[in-house]
Amino acid sequence: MVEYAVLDAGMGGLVIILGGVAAVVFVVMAVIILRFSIRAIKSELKKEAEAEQLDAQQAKEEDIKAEQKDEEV
Amino acid sequence: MLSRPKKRILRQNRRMKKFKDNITGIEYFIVHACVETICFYLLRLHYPLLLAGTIAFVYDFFAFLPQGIIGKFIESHKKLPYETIGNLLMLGAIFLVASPVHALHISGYVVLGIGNAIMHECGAIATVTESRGKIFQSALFVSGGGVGIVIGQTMGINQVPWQWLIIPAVLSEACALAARKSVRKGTYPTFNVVEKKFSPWTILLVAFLVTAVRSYLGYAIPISWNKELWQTILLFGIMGLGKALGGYFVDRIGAWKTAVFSTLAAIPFLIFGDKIMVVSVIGVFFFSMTMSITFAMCLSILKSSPGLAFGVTTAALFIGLVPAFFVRFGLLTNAILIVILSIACCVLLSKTLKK
Repeated sequence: MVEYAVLDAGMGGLVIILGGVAAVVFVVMAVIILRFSIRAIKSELKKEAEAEQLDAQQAKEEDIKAEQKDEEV
Repeated sequence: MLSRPKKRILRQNRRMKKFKDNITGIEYFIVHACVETICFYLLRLHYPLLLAGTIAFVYDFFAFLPQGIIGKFIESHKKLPYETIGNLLMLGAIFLVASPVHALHISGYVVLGIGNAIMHECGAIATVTESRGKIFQSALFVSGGGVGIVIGQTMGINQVPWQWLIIPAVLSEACALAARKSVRKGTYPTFNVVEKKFSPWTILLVAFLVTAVRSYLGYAIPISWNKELWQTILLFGIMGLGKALGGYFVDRIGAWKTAVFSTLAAIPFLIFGDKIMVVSVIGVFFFSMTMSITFAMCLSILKSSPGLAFGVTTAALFIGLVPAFFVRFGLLTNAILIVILSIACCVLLSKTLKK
């Protein structure tokens, strides 16, 4: 009986330890994946903001050119 | 006035054009169905009870969470044969999971999840590329999953020999290769379904929260009527139809109207449909319609990265699933949760979507 109880406790302990290790591994992997994803989103948003700025600048320059042409006329 | 035969020809031409316009969506509908057939067969093959939760968690983790990064990688490295890599991984997973060596099984599910993620990302990128600013093709692609889930589960539970999975694997490869150019075009149409007054992070957060809530509620919906195989087929069929038609309605009447109507209309049907199949199925239909809306929201923000946009929604799906692995509530608590969370989602969507 005592041997079985010790075996049970040992197996239970092993399951808890392995389960704990697996949980830690999954949490670490999840954090790494999410951090990479957030970084990718940040760079994507930055790229889009820059593209929008460039568009706005080009539109401004075209407006100025058009105004200058009007003045020359 | 046109004669009858001419009218018929015109109608046929129109139908043919519609079919051709949505061909990528149809191809990836088949790919998605094949992929889910393989996945759900393997998920049901071993351990029907004891380790089912652990296996499902491991598989979901690798299938849902890294999709954003995989999508970004596919968009920036176009020369690799991703479709073939994804299908080969899934084929490898079949051998690993079906092998008599127990120690290989769990690694098989990891490989299966990664293969699944690659195929999903190819589908998302291809359907957005060919969408011409409409969400229907992506919705069609996503709706194919329901068909595969039913076929795979049925095959797995009935212990159909695993060799049969070669058929969906080959079909998936053929259809994916047919649409391979769409994955690599690199130019994407613009989606614009969100209010511009909100910051991009707010919109992404709302899309993430709504998707996560929908994912969790998917497990909380009371469906004690679902006991027979044909009822499961009907449930997943209706779910797929809801997803596809959600995309159709977003293109026709707009995302705001579709979101508000479907989230509010679903509530009573979901709550009172526990024992009445017809009522529940109507609820599930409305409930599934919001799927394409959150994807369109992410696409409106991450305009040049549909893979990453799709990854945001799949990560949310996984986060929404996590509580279902650890906590189970009673019928009343679930009903209260459905009402509160659905109304919260409706408010969030109605504020952030463009009218």
